[in-house]
Amino acid sequence: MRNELEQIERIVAYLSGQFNNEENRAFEKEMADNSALNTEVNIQRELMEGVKRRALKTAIAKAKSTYIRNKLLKVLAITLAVAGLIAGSIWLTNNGHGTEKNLPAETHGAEESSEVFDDELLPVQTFEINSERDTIIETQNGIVFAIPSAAFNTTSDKVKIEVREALTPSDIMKAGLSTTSGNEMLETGGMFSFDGFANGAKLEIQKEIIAEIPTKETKAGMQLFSGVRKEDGSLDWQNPKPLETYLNTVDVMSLDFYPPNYISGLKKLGKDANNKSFTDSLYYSLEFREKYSALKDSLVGFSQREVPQVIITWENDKPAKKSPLNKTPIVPVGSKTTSTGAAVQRPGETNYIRPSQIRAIWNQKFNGSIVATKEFEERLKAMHQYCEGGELLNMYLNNLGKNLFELDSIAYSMTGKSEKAFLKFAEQKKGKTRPNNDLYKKLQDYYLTNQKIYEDAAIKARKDYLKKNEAERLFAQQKKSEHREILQKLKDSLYTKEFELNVNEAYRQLGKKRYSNVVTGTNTWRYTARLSSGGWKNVDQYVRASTLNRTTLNYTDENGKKAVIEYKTASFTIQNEKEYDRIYVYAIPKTFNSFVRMNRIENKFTYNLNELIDYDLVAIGYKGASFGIFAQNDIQDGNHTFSLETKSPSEADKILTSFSENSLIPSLTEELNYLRIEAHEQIRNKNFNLNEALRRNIIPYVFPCLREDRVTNTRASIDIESLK
Amino acid sequence: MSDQDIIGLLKSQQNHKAFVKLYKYENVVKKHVLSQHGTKQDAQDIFQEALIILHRKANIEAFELTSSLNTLIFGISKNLWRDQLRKKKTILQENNNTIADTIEFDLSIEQEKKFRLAENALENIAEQCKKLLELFYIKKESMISIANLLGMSSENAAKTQKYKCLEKARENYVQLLSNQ
Repeated sequence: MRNELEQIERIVAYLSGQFNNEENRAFEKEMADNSALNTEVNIQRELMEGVKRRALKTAIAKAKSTYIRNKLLKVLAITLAVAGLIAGSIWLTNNGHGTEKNLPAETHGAEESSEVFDDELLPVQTFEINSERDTIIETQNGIVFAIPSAAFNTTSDKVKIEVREALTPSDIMKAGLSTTSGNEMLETGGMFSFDGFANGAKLEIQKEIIAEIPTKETKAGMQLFSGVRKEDGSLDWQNPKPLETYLNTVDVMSLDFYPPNYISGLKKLGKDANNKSFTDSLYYSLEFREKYSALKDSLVGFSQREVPQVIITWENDKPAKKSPLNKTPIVPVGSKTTSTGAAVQRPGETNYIRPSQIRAIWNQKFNGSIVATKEFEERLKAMHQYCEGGELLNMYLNNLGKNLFELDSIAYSMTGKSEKAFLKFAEQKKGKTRPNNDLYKKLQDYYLTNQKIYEDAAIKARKDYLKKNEAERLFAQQKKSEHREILQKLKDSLYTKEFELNVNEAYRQLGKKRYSNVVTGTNTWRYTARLSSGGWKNVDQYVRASTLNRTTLNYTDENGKKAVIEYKTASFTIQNEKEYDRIYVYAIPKTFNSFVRMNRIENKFTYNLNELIDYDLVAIGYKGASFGIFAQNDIQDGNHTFSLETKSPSEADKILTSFSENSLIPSLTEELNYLRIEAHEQIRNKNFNLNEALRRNIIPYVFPCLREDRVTNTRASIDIESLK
Repeated sequence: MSDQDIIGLLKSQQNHKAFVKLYKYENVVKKHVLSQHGTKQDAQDIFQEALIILHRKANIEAFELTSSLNTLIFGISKNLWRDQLRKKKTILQENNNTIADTIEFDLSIEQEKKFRLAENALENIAEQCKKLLELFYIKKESMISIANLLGMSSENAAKTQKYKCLEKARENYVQLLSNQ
C-alpha cells in the first residue's frame, strides 16, 4: 500500500508537471525500462484526461447556454424592432351571439335555445346610440367603446348597445365564466360582452369598434379571445387576436424629467429642492457647449481665480467654427483628445442629455405624445445615465409616432450590447400614444427650434453672468487699489505732520532752534531732512523713529537736556464683533483733520496715541449690505469696550460727516462710500463662489458620466459650507 | 475575433469564452449529422466531442491552424460521425476525403476514445472524489487548499483520499478496458 501510494504520487507528479527536467528524464528512463510502470503511467494519464473531459464538457454546456441566450437576445431585439402592436389585456365574449363576423359557425345564440346561461345573469348595461355618428360610451367599470358611425349592418339610425362586464376575478367566478381555451387555462384580464340591437334584432359589426379596458398593469402577451358556447353551455375562448394598448398620457408638467440624482443631490447639498423655479434655473444653467475635456476642466477644476479662463474657453469656442449640423460636439468619456487638449471635432459625436433638450420638451405642448407618459419619464431617467443620452433622446423625439418598444430596441442597440437597461424596457413591449401625426410633426419642429433657442440662451446667460461678475470683480479690485493708495497717502501725510509736530516739540524741550531746511507741508520732507547737518539730524532721527513706530520719544542730548514725547496705547474691544463681516476702527487726530485705520491685534483694535494730539474714534462694520457705526470723541489710552449700532445709510453719513467737517481729502464719508463698494464686492464674491460651488457639486449628479474622473480631483470637492 | 484569437483562448484555458465563440459552428455539424442518418442528440454529442478534440489539439505545443476553424471543426465532426456510423455498422457512402486528413483525424479520435472511457470510469466514483480530482488536475489547487476546500483534516488526509480516488477510478477503468 505504502509503495503503491508512493508510486501513484510520483506518476501524478510527473503527469501534472511537478517534476523538474532532471526528474522528468530520470522518470522517463525508468518508464522505458519498466513496462509495468509505463502501463501504469498511461492509465493515470488517461484518467487525468478523463477528468479534463468532464471539466470541458461542463464548460461546453455553460458556453452553449450563454451562446443561446446571446442569440435569443439578438433575435428578441430584432423582433421587437419590427413587431407591430403590443398585446392587450382582455378577452371579449360576444356572449355567444355571434356578433363578430369572424366567429365560428357553431356559435349558438342564447335566444335560440331556451336555456339561460350563468353569464347572462350579469347585469346588462344598455346604451342607445345614433348609428350615424361616431359615439363613445363608457361602462360602469370603465370600459370605453369607441363606436364609429355605421358600425353595424343596419339602416336604423337608432342602435341599442348591451354590455355585460366581469372584470374582477370574483365577478368572473360569480358569472360562472370559464377561463379555458380548448384544454388550456388562460390568465384573464377580465371579460365583457358587447352587442348591438336594432328593432329587436341583433346586429353584426361591420366596422371596427375600439374597446379600451381599464387595467392596473398591462401584461405582455394579453390577447382578445372570442367566447364560443360549448354544448355544456360554458364558453370556450377561441380565435385570439392581439390587442392594442395605447400609452396613458398625463400632463407633462407632472412628470420629472430631471436627471435621476439631481433633486436628491440638491437635498444632500442642503438646497431647496422643492422650489421648481430654483431647480429649473440651476439645471438649465448647466448648459454646456464645451467639448468634454474643456467641460471637465471648467466645471470640475476651476477655482474662483480661474474664472477668466472659463470665459476664454467659451470665447475660443465660437459657433462660427462649428459645422451647422452639429454645433455642440461633446467628447464622451474616454474619447481621445489631441495633445493640445482640444478635442477633435467629429460630426455626430455622442453627448449627454443637455438641459436645453429637457427644457424644450418639458412643456405642455408635448401633452398627448409619448413624452407625456410615465413610461417616457422612466426611460428619460435611464437616458440621463448614459454619456450618449442626448443622442438617445433625439432618437426618441424623432420617432414620436412609433411604438415605445421599437424605440427602446433601437436605444438598446445604441447603448451597446453590454447595457441591458433599454433591453428591459423593450421587453415591456410598451406601445405608442394615440396616433396624431400632425401633432408629432409640430412637436418635432418645436423641439428642434426651441432646444437651440434654449441652448443659446443658457450659454449666453452663463457667459453674461461670468462676464458681469468678472467686470464687477475688476471694478472692485480697481477701487480697492485706488483706496489703498488713498490710505497710504493719508498715512504718509499724517506721518509728515506728526513728525513735524514732534520734531518741533523736541527742539522746544531741548531749547534748541531748528534749522528750517525742513520744508513743512510738503511730501518731500524726507529728502530735504537728509540734507541737514549731523548734530541736528541726530535728534531728527530719534524723533523719526519714535513717530514711525509710534513709541515714546525719550531723548537726552549731549548737554544732558531731555526731550520726551509720550505715546500711550489705547485698545478697543467690540462686543458685537461677531455680528459683522468686517469692522474697521479709525483714529481721527483732531489737529490734522485726518484719519487712520487702527491695527487689529487679536480681538482688539489698538492705536498708540500721541500725547500732543487729541483723537476722536469712529468704528464702521458691515454685515452684507447693512452698516453698524460707533463714534466717540476724545478717546483716552487704556482698554475700552463698545458695541456697533446698525445705522441707515443716511444716519451713517450724518455721523461721519460730523467728524469730517474741516477735513482735507478724503473725508470719512468717502471712506464709507468705499466700504460700501467693498461690502458689495464681498456679497458678490460670496454669492458667486456659492453659485459656482453649487454648480460644481451638482454636476456629478446631473452628468453621471463625469463622475468617475472627478473623484480624484481634490479641488473639485470644495466644501460649500466653508463658503457660506 | 479571429480564429487565431480563439485558439489563443483555448491555449490559455479561457475555455468558456472560446466555446461561446465556437458554438456558431454547431449548425453546420448538425446539418451534416442529420443528413447522415443522425439525430439531433447525435449531432450535439458529435459537436461536443469535436470541441473537446479541438481543445486538445490547440493545447499541443506544435499545433498550427492550417485551415479555418470552421473547416477544422467540420472535419473533426465528420470523421467522428463516420467513426460512429462505422461502429453502428451502418454502411455509408464515403465521400472522397483526402486520405491524409482522415488518418490524422482518426488518430486523435482513437486516442480520444480511451479518454472517453476513462471519463466513464470516473463517472462511477464518489462525488467527493470527482471534486477532488477536478480541483487537483483542472484547478491546479495544492493539496493543502484541497484539504481546506473539501473539509478534510489535513494535507495528508487529502493525499490519502486522492490516492483512494485514483485507485477506485483505475479499478473502474481497467474493468472497462477489459470489457472492450
